[in-house]
Amino acid sequence: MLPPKSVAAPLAAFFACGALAARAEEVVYGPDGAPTVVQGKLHSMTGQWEAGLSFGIALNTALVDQLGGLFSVSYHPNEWLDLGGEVLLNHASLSTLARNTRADLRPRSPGQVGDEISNDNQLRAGAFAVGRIAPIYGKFNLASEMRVHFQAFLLGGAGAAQVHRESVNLCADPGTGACQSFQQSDKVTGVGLVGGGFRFYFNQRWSLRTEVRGYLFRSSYKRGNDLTDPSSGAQKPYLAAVATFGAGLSFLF
Amino acid sequence: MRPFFAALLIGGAAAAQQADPDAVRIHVLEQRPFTEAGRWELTFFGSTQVNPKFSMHAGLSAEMAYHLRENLAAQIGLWYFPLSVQSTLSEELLTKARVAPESAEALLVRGAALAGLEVMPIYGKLNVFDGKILRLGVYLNGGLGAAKTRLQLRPSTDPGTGRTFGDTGYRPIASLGAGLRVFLSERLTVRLELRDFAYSGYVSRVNGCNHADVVKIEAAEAGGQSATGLSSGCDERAFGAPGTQAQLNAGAAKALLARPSADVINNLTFQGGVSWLF
Repeated sequence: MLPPKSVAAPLAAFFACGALAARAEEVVYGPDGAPTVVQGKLHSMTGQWEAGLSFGIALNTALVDQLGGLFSVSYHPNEWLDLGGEVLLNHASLSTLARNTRADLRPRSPGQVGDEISNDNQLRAGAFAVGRIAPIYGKFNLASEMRVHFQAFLLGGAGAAQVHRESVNLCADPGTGACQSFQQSDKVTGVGLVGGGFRFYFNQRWSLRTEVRGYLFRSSYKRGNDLTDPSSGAQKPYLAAVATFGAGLSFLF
Repeated sequence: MRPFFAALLIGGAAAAQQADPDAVRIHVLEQRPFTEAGRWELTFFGSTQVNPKFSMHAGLSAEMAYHLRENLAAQIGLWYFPLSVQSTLSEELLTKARVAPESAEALLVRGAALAGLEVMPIYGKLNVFDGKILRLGVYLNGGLGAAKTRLQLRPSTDPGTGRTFGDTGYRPIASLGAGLRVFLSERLTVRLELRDFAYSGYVSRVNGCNHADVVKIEAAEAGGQSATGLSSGCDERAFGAPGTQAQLNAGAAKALLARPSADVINNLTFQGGVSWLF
């Protein structure tokens, strides 16, 4: 059924304007005034969920080797923000440097007092609430042909983690004999995290995420420990920072 | 009715084209608003080492570049590290476990001059919060030059001497880097880059003195005298004031020179700065 003549002309004008508007939306003017295309975002994030799996390696823990994985799920309420949760699992152990240092320790003698070497934290597991803000969206060309779209983001969050400590230089055995085991502790502690990174889009669903992040938490080392009496000494607290580099895939759905 | 059908068809076709994902895959040649070719670029950086295992470096640098072509530049740069000291870990190992890194691993760079080339094969754009569109370039660079080096002799926790250093002279240095240049305007850019400074860590002399010299200096200063029979170029007074200070510093140099070691040190440095194109 056709519309009456009285409304046909306005309808025709409406559809014509719609057509022109649809065409006009494709042209976005750049800062130099030249008409350009594809300067809007090719990959929209609004209203999407994201699941990611990445591997991470510690950057600043010379006494500890730490390698692990991170699983994350987040929601993007708009183009610039995503909020979600993460679960971290690491394999952490003392490094070759720490073991060499142990091997070079001098024999203990009665009354000898020493301080513990700090930054021996092994971040083994954790769960965090994380937010990312991504103010920068861009693209570049590889070999003049292959377009790569990317996003740069900052992240912050908080949560709890299990931190294992194994002293490099304080023995757990009393007396002056050869040390068979070293002082250890385990605790669950609050952790803050900050970082930043890039997302490189393969397509609308898949992307490569790389990031550097720092885990900040309260730790301690022992001062004034009688080397022949493991229970002696006092804890000196400090703010520990474990920086990691991570890379992995994320899936948008 | 014919105008109505015509408008309906045009509108529908336009809407269909809008929904077609192929519609965004259009190659458009857009002229770059400005070029770097034939222009000079002066950059000032703040630098900090990002792999501080046994050493810590932080400082400033200035770099002058001439863009031979759009994506190729020749550059010369000067680096100065006011903070070039042993890391906290090094000092902890020394004071708490009586172990120290070998001299080759703990060699510090005080300053460096390098000349090299930069290629910028990747060109792109970005926008911030969907606002202003900025252009960016991803570049790689490499250079060769010379570095002024030193060794830390005493830790900062030493109550008698504090942190002291010994001069270990000049040695060749090479750098490889990768970075990002964001053009804020035709003249002003922001640069972020990661540079690997690689240099030889072989140390055979401290303050011009070899191992035999520092043994003599330590013994002489302990007895309140000046050492005799030192090799050419050895500067006893560079170890500090006569007496305990010179004795302690010479003793530390003796320990470092006792087992000469060779290594190639990779000092990974993050640099952020601004540059001016003219």
